[in-house]
Amino acid sequence: MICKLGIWDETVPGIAFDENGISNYARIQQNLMNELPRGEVGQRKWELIVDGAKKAGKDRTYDCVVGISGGTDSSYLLYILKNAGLKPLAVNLDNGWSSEIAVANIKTMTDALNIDLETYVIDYEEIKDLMRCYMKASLPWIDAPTDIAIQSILYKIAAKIGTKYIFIGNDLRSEGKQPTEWTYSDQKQLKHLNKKFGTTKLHTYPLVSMYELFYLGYIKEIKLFPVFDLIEYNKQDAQEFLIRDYGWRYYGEHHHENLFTKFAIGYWMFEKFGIDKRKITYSAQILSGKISREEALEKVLIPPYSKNGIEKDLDFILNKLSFSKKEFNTIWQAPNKCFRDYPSYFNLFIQVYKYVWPVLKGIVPTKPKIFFELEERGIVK
Amino acid sequence: MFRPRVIPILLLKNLGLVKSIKFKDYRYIGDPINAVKIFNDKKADELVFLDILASKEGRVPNHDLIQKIADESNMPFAYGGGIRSLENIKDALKYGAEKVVINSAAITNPAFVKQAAEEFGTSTIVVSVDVKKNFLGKYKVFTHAGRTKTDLDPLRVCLDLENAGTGEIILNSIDRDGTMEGYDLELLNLVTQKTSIPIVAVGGASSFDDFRNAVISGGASAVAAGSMFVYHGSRRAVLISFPTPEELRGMFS
Amino acid sequence: MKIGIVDYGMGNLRSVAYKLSKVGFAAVLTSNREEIESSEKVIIPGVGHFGKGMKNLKSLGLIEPLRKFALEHKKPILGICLGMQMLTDFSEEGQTDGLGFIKAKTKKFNFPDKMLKVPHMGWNSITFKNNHPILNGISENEMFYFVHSYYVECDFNSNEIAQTNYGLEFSSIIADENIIGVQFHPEKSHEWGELLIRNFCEM
Repeated sequence: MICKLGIWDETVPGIAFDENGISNYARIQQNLMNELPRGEVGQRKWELIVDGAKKAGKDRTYDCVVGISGGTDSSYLLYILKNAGLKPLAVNLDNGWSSEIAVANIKTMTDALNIDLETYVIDYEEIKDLMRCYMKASLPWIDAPTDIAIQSILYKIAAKIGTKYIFIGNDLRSEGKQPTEWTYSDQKQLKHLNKKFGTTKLHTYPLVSMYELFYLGYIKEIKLFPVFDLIEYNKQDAQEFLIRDYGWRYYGEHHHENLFTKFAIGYWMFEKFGIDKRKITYSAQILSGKISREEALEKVLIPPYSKNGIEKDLDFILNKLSFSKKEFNTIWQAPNKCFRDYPSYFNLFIQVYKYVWPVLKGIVPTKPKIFFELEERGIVK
Repeated sequence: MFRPRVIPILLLKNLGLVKSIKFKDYRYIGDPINAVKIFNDKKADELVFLDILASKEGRVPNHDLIQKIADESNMPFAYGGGIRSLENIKDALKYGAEKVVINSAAITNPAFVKQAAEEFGTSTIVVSVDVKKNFLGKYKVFTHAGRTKTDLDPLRVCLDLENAGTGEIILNSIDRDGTMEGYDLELLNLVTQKTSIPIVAVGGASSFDDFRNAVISGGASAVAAGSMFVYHGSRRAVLISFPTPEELRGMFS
Repeated sequence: MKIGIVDYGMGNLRSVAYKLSKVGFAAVLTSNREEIESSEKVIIPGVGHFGKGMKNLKSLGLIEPLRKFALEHKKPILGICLGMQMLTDFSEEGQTDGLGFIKAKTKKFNFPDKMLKVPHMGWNSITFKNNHPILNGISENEMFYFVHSYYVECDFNSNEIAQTNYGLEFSSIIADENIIGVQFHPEKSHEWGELLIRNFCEM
């Protein structure tokens, strides 16, 4: 059964359909869009944020931090911020898998917009070990170590340069909310997996403990703002604009600017777990009118990683992860696990949920998307 | 048309790339294999990898790493660091390096270079000559990553190396290293005017103009740099770059 | 299809073998005459002294098998760098006779004014002189990586497939039907080198 409004189907964990064939995920997405409207309301909100950042950062070199990857969203975001008269510090996390196009785009955009760049390079042996840990643990979201690192580093650098504003290029209308089972992990889990499966101690991997995160969020009031949740943004138009005006280059699908992410989403999750993240992203795009349901249903029939593509890349990827073909086969055959199979903060989170939000309200600018999902799915009340 | 090469020099420390400033501080730059991949996609001319610990700690070349780099690399690559015996050279070449870079061993024992050139071919032997001005302002050759002073004159050393069969010399200005103040053209001319083998300029590059000057005004056959290709911007963010084919075409004409 | 890469103790065989596997062909590194005879195609790589190269081939007993392979059975044979030079009649390096599969001489670069350095080392372009399947899909003026102190001059223009300029015009690709030589290193010349290798494999 497939949702009538989107293409969420029975492979999506916790999906439920009402009598009209509409899924709870469609409601999640609708709730999110209602909570974060664009148009005049969103624009106004954005202007207030910009003013706030400018005021606070008046006498500083930078008034905000922006995460960049060389992809469409973050590249376009740089333009938006510069255009709004802000003084951003662009931050890139190097996990050793950036493609040449991503690297070239980062250079092109920061040069052209005259924006300073800061990179954080995790010792490749450490991040490699973490990626291996997640794969050995048979978890779906093996790119979690990079995600967690990105968040940590954005907060740390924001604190270092004395700004409360972190801008990121996420866009709920083109990304949607991925099911928790598919993408959840946290530092507690990461540390556990490192201990259980890892061989390398973490020295350069940026860890921000719960307390630190709390301190940075609550006391120092550093906030993460997904800008495109508020303002008008069309990815296609943005790409054309960037290519035409900046010599920016396109790399293929979403997140394909990083080879490991491409592998994680397009091959590992897709083939081993039967997870197609595009069911979420395309559905979100259907609801926001970007594509039609027919188009989405067609697109999703094509595997995310072409057979040709994975054949070419797999040797390189396994080599880079220091997996022999044999080791990889063992891992590949191992039964699939879920984040719930390993320690994490999630259970604690669920238990104190009703106490968490009032506290969190002081830290996050809007209700976290995960709350929308968990509430609608009945995991929390 | 022949075009002078533009060569990134990358330093290896254990399994990672690092960058040095005046041979003293080292900063982690990233995974060498991904760097090679990016340089491949950027169609870089050639790569030089120098293993700083192999030299310092007397280790042998890391076969596995050389092999990985060689396999991934679509352009020639030279390996240096701790090359002090014919065995070292044999291994490095066997595992895939096109050339080896010899430093201290070549300066202290030119006969070694002669043997190596005869055994493996002139084109596989590169010698890096590190030069610094002494307190009297005279150029002197240094060995052991710039730590050990000799009383040797750079031109004399380069001519001896040429006679011994060296394929090319990487002429490194220690004074300019990491400063991004441009190549030492005086040092370059001193050597290029009297030698017949290719001289690669290194130390101080910060712009395409520097490359151009080194070739046109300094007589260099090729230009090399470290910082320029791995750093970007005022905060020295780690970002790999390399001139585009269009930029290269116009660079030296 | 088996492609034999002649191992006579000189040159970077690994890179060539790896490139072959990358374009989808199995390579065998060998100094064994039977293996060479039974290969469908042969590649002679090489870096180093001409005299030494010929000496090694001789002591391995490979000169006759290679001659049979190239001139009698007329199977495709590709010489790379020193390998190409050894296909010629004679080289000034060591004043030694080569295999003589293609009528040409190998001479030393000599630039007394020291303006051009020797070895010729780096990227240079090729201009086409004659057609040959080895050039399929390669546009004129593409650049390849050269490193050599001696160059080849063909006796007959028809054997000169491509030319390169370095102080003088020299033959960068020579061929006589199934016998081909390239002065540059296609295994390390980015995509054009890879294409040339593929062309040889598919000939």
